[in-house]
Amino acid sequence: MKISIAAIFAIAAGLIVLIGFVYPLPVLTEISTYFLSWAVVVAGVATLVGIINLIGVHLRKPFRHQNRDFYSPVLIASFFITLVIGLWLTPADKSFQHVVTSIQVPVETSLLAILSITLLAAVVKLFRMRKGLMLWSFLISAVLFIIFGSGMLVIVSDRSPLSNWIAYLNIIPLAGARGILIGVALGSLMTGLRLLFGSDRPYDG
Amino acid sequence: MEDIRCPVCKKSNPPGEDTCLFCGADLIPAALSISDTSPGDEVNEPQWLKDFREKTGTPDSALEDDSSKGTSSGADDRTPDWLRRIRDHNDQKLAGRATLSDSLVDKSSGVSPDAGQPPLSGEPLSSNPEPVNGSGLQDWLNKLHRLENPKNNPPDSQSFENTDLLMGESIPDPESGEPGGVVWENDSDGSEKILSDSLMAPQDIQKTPTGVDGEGLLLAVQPEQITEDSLTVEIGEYNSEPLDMGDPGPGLAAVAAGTVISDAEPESPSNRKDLVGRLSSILGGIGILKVHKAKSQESTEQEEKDIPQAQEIGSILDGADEEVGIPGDEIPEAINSDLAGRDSAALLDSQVEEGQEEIALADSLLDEPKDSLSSAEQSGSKELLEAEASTPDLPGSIQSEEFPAEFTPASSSLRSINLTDQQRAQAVVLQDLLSDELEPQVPPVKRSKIPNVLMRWIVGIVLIAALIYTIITAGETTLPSFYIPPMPQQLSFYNQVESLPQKAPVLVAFDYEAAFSGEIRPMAINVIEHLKQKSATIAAVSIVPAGPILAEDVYAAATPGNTLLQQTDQGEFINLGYLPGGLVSLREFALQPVQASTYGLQSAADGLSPWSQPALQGISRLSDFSMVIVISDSLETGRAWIEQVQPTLGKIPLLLVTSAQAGPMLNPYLFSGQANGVISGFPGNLVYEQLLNKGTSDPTAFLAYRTGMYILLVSMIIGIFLKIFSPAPTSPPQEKGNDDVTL
Repeated sequence: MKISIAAIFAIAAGLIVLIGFVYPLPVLTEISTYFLSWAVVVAGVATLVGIINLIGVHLRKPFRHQNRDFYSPVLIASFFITLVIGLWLTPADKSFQHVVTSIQVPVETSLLAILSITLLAAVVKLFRMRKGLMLWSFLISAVLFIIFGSGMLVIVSDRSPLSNWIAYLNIIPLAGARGILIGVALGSLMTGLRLLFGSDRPYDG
Repeated sequence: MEDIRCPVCKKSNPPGEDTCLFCGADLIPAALSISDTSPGDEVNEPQWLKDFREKTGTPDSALEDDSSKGTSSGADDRTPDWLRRIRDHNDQKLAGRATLSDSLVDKSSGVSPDAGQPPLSGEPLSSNPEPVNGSGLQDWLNKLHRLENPKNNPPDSQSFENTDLLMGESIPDPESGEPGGVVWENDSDGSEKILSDSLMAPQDIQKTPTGVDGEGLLLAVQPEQITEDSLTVEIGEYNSEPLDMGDPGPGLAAVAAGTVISDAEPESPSNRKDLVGRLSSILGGIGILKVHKAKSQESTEQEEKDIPQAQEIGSILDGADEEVGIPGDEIPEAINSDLAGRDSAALLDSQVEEGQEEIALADSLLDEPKDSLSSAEQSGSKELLEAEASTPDLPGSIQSEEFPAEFTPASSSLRSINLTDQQRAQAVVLQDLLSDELEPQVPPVKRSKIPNVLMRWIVGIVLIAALIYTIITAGETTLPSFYIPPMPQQLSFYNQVESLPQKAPVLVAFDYEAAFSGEIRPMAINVIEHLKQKSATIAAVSIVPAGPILAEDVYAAATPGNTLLQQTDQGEFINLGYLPGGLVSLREFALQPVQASTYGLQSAADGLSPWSQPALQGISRLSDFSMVIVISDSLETGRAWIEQVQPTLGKIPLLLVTSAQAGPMLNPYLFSGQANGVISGFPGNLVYEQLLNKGTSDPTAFLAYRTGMYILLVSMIIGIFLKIFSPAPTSPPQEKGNDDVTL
């Protein structure tokens, strides 16, 4: 297998950080910290590059011959206004914080509310699109846990036999969540091993 | 003498006219002769042909003489006057003209071994007449194989100077100088035959009768009856445009007519392949057999790879050697009708109806080339033969319809009759079509007439209206007293916070997006209030860009008398700010928090490091905090804190405040000991308020939340009923677009 210099550095860095995680020796920890600091700097610069690219794209969109996007000027104006005010007042300014939260929170919450409406429409549509046992399993579990989570049973006291039954039913999502997490862990482990062994080399382009 | 019917306008013209009086079309037909019908071939003649001859009174000798000689001299009393006149005329007109060899197609001649390249600029084409060897028409292709051994083949004795004659172009009359005319060639016996009339319409071409009845004429063709004439007719019929003479390969017509390429042309495997490929174009053009035209520049290695394919085709064609004669009444009607749709079939039908003796035998090529190709395979030729015709570089050629090279077993009715391979293929195709009809069809999904957008509008309006009504009327509603039994993770969370010592430093991560503020903010406020009750020193940090500002908002809301704009009591709250880099920065923060968050949110204003604040004195590691609380809206963020930060905490408890969607997924970490308490979702907040003895701080939010859940439940029930009681789809209305839903 042909190993490039970039692969050697990448694999070495990964091994050092991994060993430092398992065996927190001072030397390894210090080296790992340096690597992580560099990675953070690179990630920050990448974010800056992404912002510059985003602005460049939206600067071109209004001047295209086809499919002109007239929302791009709004985006660019909003970006530069926020940037200038933020640099001037600093993010520590309470007024600046208030403006940001007064805009960002309602906008993002509204988007999420629209998603809830779409999901609600999909619920009605779901039973027409799919068939079979899995649909009915999903249906029963969804109805049960919606009832549990909707507050319908808030009047049930802890001495009611129903409470024990509800507690028992909560084991089902717990078991499912554990299965998912184990799958995620195995996938992450394999991805890490492939990177450490040089099978995957995203840095080679 | 009968009138001559114009082949173009179908009007009768008086005998003796050379051109149509109505449309001016040439009335001189191209008399196609069946050449070289040896007496021995009578043995192979089908019974129906013999019956036909007896019925029509046509002696075999007449036909044989006529075909073998190929001249008008052989005409007897049964020969039509117009045909005799044509022959006489052409005898005089084309006497002395160079002729083409019919060695390729005609049994009595063979292909010159030098065939390979057509003359491009006056380069002579040679004919190489050879005596009849009695081996049948397959020899023409066998002789093509001799091209591989040019040393064994003598140079051509004759040449043909104008290949345009073979390309369907007008032939200047040497006498009148007018274009057009009949092309003649020398037969092996020195007689002349009409080879092609380039100006004649395809339907004008008549062929010598071979015992064809009205219905089965296409099928009742003997392989021996294939002549160069019919082949040339096909060229003229399908090649309306002249061939590209710039093509380095041999000319199509030169190959078809058996002309011999000059010795000056180099011999190469590619040329041989091209030669066969052009032959295949002829065959493919008449829908008989598709022979793949080998690419002229392909390497010999590729040629070797294609040999198995040629062998496969040859093996298939071996089965086509049998007699194909079949009475028309035995032909399945579907096949017969299909054949009737072909141009050649229509041509033949029209000729029969007119009662003419000479009938076109366009499809007589069905069997002859196959036999030849089969023999080619047997002789070990390396010519590339495939079941699919592809002659895109051949101008004027018509792509034949495809038919399968491998036939599935036909039904018993088909096996009982003799069919050509093409007919079998067509029957198989028909059978497949019918079998497909019998397969069960998947019923299309019935689509609602209600557009999806309208559906969303209805659901949205219902949901918003219910929530607005709930919010308006919530002030007048008094919630009944209730008690929700706390879950172990909720109880553990409360107990951990409750057990904090006074003024203990607590690290709180505000890692949730602003979109989840409606769900998480009440929980975060309750937790901060609980911490303030313990006089805890709160250090806020976030890996979400909006996190530090949301932290400020939550702390202001949790502090009595404070707002985000007017914070009179800053207390022991320190905002460490935003950690860029995502999970990497989180790991770095776990290892060295002071270096990872050198600048806090207030650092831009006062220029001081947050770690220099008195509340954080003595803290250099995360384990120096008394507690870490992560407020997250997603599984990924909560998992990152557990996996990257928790190992560095030691015995410091890690508590989670999450959204309802991430809570069940994070509960396993609670039971594994990596997390010490979880509060998730609106119900978790109710429990926590209950534990704090606050009561329901926001009954409006609780009622609105419950109303939304009710609507979701009702929607699911409606969907179930629509599923159960909706009628089965009866008609498949395919509406435009795919944005329809069921309702």
